[in-house]
Amino acid sequence: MTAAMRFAKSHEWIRPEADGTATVGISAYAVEALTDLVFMQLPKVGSRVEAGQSFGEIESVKAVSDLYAPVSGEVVAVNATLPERLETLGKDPYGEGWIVRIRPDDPAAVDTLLDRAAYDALVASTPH
Amino acid sequence: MTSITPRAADAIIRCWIDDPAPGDVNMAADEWLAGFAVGTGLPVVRFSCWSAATLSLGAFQESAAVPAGLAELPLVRRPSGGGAILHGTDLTCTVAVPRVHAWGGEAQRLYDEVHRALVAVLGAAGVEAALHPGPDGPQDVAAEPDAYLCFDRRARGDMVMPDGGGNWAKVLGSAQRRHRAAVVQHGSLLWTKNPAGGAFAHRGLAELAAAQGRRLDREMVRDRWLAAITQASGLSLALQQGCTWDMDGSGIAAIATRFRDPAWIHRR
Repeated sequence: MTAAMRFAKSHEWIRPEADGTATVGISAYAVEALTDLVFMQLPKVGSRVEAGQSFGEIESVKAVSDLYAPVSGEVVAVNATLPERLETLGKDPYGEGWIVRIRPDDPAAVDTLLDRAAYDALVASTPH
Repeated sequence: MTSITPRAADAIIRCWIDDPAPGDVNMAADEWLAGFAVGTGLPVVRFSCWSAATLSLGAFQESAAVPAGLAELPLVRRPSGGGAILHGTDLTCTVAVPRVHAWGGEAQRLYDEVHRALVAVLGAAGVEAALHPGPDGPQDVAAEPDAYLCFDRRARGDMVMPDGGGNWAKVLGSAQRRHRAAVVQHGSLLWTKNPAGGAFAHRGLAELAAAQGRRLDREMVRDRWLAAITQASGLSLALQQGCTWDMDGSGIAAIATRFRDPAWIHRR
């Protein structure tokens, strides 16, 4: 986890990369809340994602949840092996458990999201 | 027809008991319920049943994999997860909860609240039932984690009953769709064995209770279950008149077109 990482209220994280892209995943809290994961549907490389809109879905034993894009942009890479090893999300949600890499339309949009302290406060106030 | 405007100040749990409807309408009504729950800021309940035997698929199940003995049945796809359910002799209990509500947090909480309420009702009626402890539990018998049918799977919190043969049969299972602002939980209480299911049908609550020497009335169980859910919520019950899908301006008919679209039904 880096200081530049930001979080959406819907529990996705985004980390700007040196090449102008940004890596997206879901937080450790989200993974734990979803419990036993069984299926994940990823977007296609080259597709567009819009901030706040669903870019994929994830299923646990009891629930299906949308994955929401933290910012708008183009999908430039997906973690294609992740659906076959969903346990990685629990083991390393901020590293090997990355989901997609996007090229943000506006890189500054990342800075409008929650920093770690603000996100931790959000989680602390969320019903358990 | 009735029309309701939600008001956040009402500390009540609203419940509709709908007339039988086809699958697309039932799915649409449940999605509408999610928006209603967000509008009120409170849980909402809908009991429903099905106008014809119907197979509902989980959100990601492959429609081409429907077992041959069930392939002629009407098909609908749920937005929620889990395995396929053969409807028609079940009582469907949908609970929609705003994410900001205590029941909208971790998935297991809502699952347990609703299922535990029914276990308590049955216990008071002298019928043995329990929440399944999960894959490592001692009651985990005859279950296949990847089975196509929901009632062949077991998950923590499923309601199970002794089957008379030393095993525990699942009679209530639920699955959720977790939207950004609301959670919709579809629950299916299998009441009697479905004659449309052939070899795939499972015995229901009424039959398993009868094996324990208890005769249960479906409406009595439903009403007491609702009362127990209401009590668990800490709210007051406001039973609604009419059907959700018959209300002015609900838009349920329009939502239903999405659920009968072959592109949705056969998305996988």
